[in-house]
Amino acid sequence: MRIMLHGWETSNRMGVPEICDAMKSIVTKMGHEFVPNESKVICAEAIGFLGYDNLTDDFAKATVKEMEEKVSKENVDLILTAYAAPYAAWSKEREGFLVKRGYELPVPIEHISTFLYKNLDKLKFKELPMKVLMHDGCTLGRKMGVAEEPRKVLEKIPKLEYVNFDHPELYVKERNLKPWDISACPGGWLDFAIPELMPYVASNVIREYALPKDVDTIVTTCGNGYHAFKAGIKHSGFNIKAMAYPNLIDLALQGVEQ
Amino acid sequence: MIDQVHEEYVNRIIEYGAKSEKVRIALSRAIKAFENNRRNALSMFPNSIDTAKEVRKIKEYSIEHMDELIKKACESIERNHGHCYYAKTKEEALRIFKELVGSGKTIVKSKSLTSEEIHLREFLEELGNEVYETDLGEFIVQLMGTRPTHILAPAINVPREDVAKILSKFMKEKGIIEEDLDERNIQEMVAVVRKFLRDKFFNADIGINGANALAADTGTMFIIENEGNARLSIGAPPVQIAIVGVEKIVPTIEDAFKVTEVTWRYSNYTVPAYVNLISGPSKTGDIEKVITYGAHGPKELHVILIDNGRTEMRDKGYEEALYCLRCGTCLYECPIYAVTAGFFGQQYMGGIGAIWDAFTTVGLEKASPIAYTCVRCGKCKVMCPLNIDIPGMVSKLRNDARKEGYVPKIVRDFASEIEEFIKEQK
Repeated sequence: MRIMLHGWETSNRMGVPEICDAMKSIVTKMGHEFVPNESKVICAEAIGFLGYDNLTDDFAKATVKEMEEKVSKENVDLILTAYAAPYAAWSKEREGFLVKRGYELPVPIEHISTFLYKNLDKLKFKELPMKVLMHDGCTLGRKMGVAEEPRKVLEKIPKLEYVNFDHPELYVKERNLKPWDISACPGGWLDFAIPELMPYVASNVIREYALPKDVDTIVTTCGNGYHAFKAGIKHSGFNIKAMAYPNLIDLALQGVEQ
Repeated sequence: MIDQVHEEYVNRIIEYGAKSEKVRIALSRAIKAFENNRRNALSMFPNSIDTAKEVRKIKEYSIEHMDELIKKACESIERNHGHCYYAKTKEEALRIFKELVGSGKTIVKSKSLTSEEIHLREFLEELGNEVYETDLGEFIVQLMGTRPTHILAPAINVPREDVAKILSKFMKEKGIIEEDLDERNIQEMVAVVRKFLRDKFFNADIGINGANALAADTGTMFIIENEGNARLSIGAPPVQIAIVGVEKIVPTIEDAFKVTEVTWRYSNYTVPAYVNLISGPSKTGDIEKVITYGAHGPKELHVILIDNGRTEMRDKGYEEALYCLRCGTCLYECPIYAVTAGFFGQQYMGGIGAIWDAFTTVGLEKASPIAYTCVRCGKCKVMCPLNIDIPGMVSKLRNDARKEGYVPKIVRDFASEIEEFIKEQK
């Protein structure tokens, strides 16, 4: 397959190019070719959340047009992203924003976690003796309920132990709330409005939820969240690592069964 | 202008909120205590989870029928020999207060966010009255000359060490104590405030309160409290004045019981020490069954129902904000609030506070930076007993702000890039 890696510009702009490296590496190890999408496009839906509903329709049209051109030019079979927002907005399978507005991308889009999950039987992992705190991105987990997929992949990595965000309340149990419903946001989206505040928020989430768990690393399915966690760790000098989900996977992934 | 407003807001939230280790420590302690208490409350009374679903329906109906419920509530209050007033605006409410209170009075006040909304204490003080906040947290805030930073626990951002210093200074000046209070001894701090306020309750001319719910069919106000300050403020002075937001009115007394039960459970109480039900002035019929008003409690009861932007809030599609019980759950669950306390807001706080501030206190321009502080992570909605869609309303408020030109530059610049992209594609 030829896979377009979306979110390239976002990762570079936020200073987390390692997400791009991991995405490239994973795709290559799985025997696919990749094409980076260096467009500044995030997704049409998010601009509405920021207060620009008036742009969303034109943005959706422009996005589809650009994607059609790139897909056709590069002969792409699939769009793959480490970011939840474009997946949430563009996925036909998830009846995302574009679909609801009557638009459709020429090829499917997958989040890295759903893509890996769909290929789970073929994935070959080496041992990874680590204990990590699993952080679900707010959009991917709480909003879309994509939580089992990333966990099933982690469970296939030998010697990797993951723990969830918890909330020891009956309320949570009675309402059948899951770890991804209650995970705390480190404030990645503050980057769009009050970036100065983000390290404080992330630092506090780490202090309150990750440090007591005695884990080596926080792994997150949210690209923006990873950026925030990194900023929080740097800000407070915590002795803990943050990893974007693709980076953790890349550490363990050896290839695929032929 | 919006850029200046945004800059001032950001400076405030960073300098006084995020950078303050005291705020963080105080909130960390408070959030843990809240979660433990709520766990206990809901473990003992799990039925509240289902009652919350009923309350959502009650609030949906009440907000939709707010106009007729105001009329009905007023009729009930008058029937009970109380006096009912309707104030469309903050200014109208303050005018009514001015006429009722005048000057030179001693006033004891129990905690009321609605009174904070209209800066009632400051207004009454300017008229030449002596006003005492009697809720301990509010009292601390009054001494500090600041404003509440949580809707339930007004001094949540103030650690005990600071409380001891503030109270020591004030109480020594008043001759209540001679030595500084021990910062480890919270009980001692509570005791000196009790000693100081004791005679204020009984010498006050007027008591002022808010309400958690108001039953339209009986005109009964429900006031939840733990300290006993509300019942003393309500019960001891000869005149009682209540200020109640119109969104607090529900059709029946049974509805009001459900609303208050869910409010206190989610406010982390198994059961509060007191729930005051006030339907009219104090009365007796013990002598020949002749009803006489002003027995031991207040002789006069005045209830001011205030709109102040609530109808507009509903009519502009923010009706869910009016369902809010003010239980405080969303704030305790919010990752932004955990490091910024009430600096994430103006009079109201958090994501839902942006809506309330836009319509009832500071207006849309000043509320815009608050809306952009919310990350729309959605944890508040998941944990809210009524499942109020705060992230959805925050997006809507941002869109309304954009239409008025109230978007901060950093976001405008980002949107400009998108507009460029759209043009290129065309």
